[in-house]
Amino acid sequence: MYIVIVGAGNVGFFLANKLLADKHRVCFIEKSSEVVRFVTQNSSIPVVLGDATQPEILKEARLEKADTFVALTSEDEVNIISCQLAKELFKVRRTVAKVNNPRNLKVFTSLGIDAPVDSTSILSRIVEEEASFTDFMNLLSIKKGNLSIVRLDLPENSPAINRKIKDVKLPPDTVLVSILREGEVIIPKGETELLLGDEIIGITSIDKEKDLINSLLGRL
Amino acid sequence: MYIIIIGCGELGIKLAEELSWDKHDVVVIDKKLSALRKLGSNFNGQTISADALDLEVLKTAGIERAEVLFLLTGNDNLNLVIGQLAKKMFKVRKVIVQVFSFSKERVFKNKGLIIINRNNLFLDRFKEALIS
Repeated sequence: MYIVIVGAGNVGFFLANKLLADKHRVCFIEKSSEVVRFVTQNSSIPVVLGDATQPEILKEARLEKADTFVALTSEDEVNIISCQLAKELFKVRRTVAKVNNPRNLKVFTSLGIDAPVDSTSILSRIVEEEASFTDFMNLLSIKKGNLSIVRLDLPENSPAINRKIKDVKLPPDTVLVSILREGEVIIPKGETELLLGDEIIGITSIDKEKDLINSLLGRL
Repeated sequence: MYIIIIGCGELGIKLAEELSWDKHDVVVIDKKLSALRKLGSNFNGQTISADALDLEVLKTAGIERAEVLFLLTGNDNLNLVIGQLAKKMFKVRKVIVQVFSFSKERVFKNKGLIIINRNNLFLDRFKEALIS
């Protein structure tokens, strides 16, 4: 795929190198000549120097050939307008944009950005989880599908220990996908017994997440 | 009428003062408090010092009941983003957007916004002045 990235700062540069390793083609648009110098000195990634909300700059980055457009600047209005121009003028199929003000997430979706990424909320959620002493971790939330994938370790006081899965009262819209026990992966069935220290991965609807924790960890 | 003006530069100030003189309810939003302080004593509307690209700020300004929104910041992108969401999310009847860029005027002109290109106005006046 050919991917154009606006903003060659920390995240952009890291992302571009990852995409290159996966055999994608990448081009940057960057407005700071200092950052452009850093990119040209430290990589062979092509860079267009300029404002990504100007159609002629987008043209220079050969946007008509791009499959995906990623806007990572620290200004929400620049990310939105550049994505809109990418779609309207160059028919780019997929636009991804960084959301700087978490309160603006709805603005991005309503103005047609395919994938707004609210890094502030994502980061604070992870920190919040890491900061608490729970043995529970949200691995992935798929908001569109109202689905989340969670991981939890069965602690000593879990009400589910030494019980068969069919006897554990799991909330509706919840499936246990796998159990990691002593380095082995077990696909859980109704007859499978849960043991202390089991690492469980489950899929649940987002609103049943707390109930699932409740039934397996016995708290919250 | 209930009117919101975003961008308190010289043009915003003049417009706010005149509309408020004409007995309209006017709210002016600008990032800079120092800009809002330049509004004269004949302005008797409200002022909000905040980043206008924020749904909470727009709601505080009463965008849900605004009949007219003027976008007069010097930033075309900001004006166009707020203008579009005023139309789409808040159904503001009349959204008047100032831009400087010809290409952006072209791209966004069919989205229900009233786009006024300041450069274009100058261009017309310059040509008029040339032939008069």
